[in-house]
Amino acid sequence: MDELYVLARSVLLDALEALGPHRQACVLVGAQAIYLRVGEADLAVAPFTTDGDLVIDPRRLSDAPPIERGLLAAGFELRGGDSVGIWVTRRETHSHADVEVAVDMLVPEAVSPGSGRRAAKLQGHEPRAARIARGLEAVLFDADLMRVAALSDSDARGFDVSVAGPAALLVSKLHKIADRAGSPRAKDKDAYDVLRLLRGTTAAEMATRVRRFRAEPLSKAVTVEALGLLGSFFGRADGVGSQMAVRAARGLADAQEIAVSCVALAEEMLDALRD
Amino acid sequence: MLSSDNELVRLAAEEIGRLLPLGWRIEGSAIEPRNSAVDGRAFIVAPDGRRAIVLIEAKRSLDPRGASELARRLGIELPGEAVIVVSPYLAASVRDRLKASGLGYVDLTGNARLTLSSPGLHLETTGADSDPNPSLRPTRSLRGPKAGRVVRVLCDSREPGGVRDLAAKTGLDPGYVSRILALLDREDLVERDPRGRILKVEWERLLRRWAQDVPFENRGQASSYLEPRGLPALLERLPQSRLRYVITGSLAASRLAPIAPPRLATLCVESLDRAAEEWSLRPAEAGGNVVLVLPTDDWVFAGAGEVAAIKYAAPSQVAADLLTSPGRGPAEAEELFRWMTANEEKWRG
Repeated sequence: MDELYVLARSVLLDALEALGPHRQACVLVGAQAIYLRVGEADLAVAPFTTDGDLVIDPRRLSDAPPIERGLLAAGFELRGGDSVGIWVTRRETHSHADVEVAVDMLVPEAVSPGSGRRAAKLQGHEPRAARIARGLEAVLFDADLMRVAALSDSDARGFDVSVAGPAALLVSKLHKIADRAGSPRAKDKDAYDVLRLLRGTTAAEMATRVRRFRAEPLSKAVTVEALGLLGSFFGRADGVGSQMAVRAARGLADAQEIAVSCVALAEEMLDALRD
Repeated sequence: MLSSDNELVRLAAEEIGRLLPLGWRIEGSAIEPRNSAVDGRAFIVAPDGRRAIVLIEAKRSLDPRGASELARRLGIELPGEAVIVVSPYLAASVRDRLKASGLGYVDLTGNARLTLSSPGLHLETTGADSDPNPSLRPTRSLRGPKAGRVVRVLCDSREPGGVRDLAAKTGLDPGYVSRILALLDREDLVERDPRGRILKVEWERLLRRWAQDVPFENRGQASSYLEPRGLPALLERLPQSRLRYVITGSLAASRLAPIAPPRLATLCVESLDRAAEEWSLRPAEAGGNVVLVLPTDDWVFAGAGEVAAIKYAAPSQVAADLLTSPGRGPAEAEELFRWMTANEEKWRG
């Protein structure tokens, strides 16, 4: 396994450790959650980057101690400039002298106390400790406790942490693709993650989980929107999402196969939700 | 060769003589010069001394199409002559065509027909309806659907034995096996002792020859499908499958001699529809990642190996299939050949 993966997991565990009692208000999302949920269904594209992403549920978060206290003590600091909710730390590996690894703290828009553009302004905590993100609401209702352990033999740590379910991860990925579409921040890999989630989960399981959070007032709107995005981005072989997935897998998998697989799986899931 | 044209002319005359009514005889059978329209001639003599010339055309084998062409040629070159076509065996369909064209015939199993107007004579007898001695027909290729069985057994076993052993192992007619071996012998692909036992098999050249004669698209009826969750999802389903199947192609080759991650699964199955249904594959015109093949001969299932409860075709089968497969198939076949050469003890029984 690439040492960067080992490092990314190790830094994530550092953050979870530093969060102490606040861990129970966190849900792991992003690439590391996808990896835990659907594994490496195939190895064509590197399964995750070095960053970790944690959703904080303000409704379950206590006011004290401030989350920044533990994080700062553990060697994390808020990235400067105008960024919000990005906690970084620097590490050394065999092949890289100085690697910056980040852990993003995110709060779903529907439950954010701060109503500004970015800072979540969690009560009792550094206002810029976490940032508001739209599309993550489903995570609040689709998560399961999973063991998140170190990937290195010399690291015995592991925590039982809420990990977002594949359906909530799908919804958040679709929103991310839509938010960034057409901008330089658009990443083809996000579409490949959608394919990875659809491949690694049965349509029946996806449908069961989606039904659960589609019925919740807090996550209903983002869910309905995401299902529409799934159809328009991935429901056609020449759709934006299908073509992003094709580009992400370029040279590693057959373009046509990726495109028609996106369509088949998107259709299958949308069909399962109609039943 | 037993049935040279000259030999057949002689045998034809002998056979007709045997069938003639009492008092009739055949005489003066002669071989015609090489450039004449037929191979021989003879006189048929009636009890009253009247004689008729019959021309004899010898064919080592004759199929219906050949019969039609022959009739057309003789109709132009020798209109109105009495001609007898002789061959070791004439199938009913061939006899019908000859009859319809007004040609006489005789074969060595007792099928004969001859009509003369002067002196008036009609004789017609029926012999065998199937070729009793198919080894008289030389085989020129490995195209036959069952020829692959002989190829496979020759490659897969170090001591394949002789004709009888091969016939017993493959469930084929010894005459057929013998013709295949004669071809392989002529082409120097096998070495036999004087008693006919196989001493040596040039297995790599033999597999290449087989692939050349029967390219992958002729090995069965193939259909393309999509497993949208990718090949790992299909492989997960196979151990529980109740269907008879075997994996060939790059997925099977990469297990032994990997060159690149396989992107296409090729499986031989007994029923395309049942397999597609049980494995939840969707028909795909483009972008498919699974090809199902309904093989022309179910010998592809023979000698399959099992790894982690998944069935893979024998390496000899995989190599021959890959040689004429699209994409990277031929390159994968070459890599597999290298592995097979280096690891003969692992796959030749």
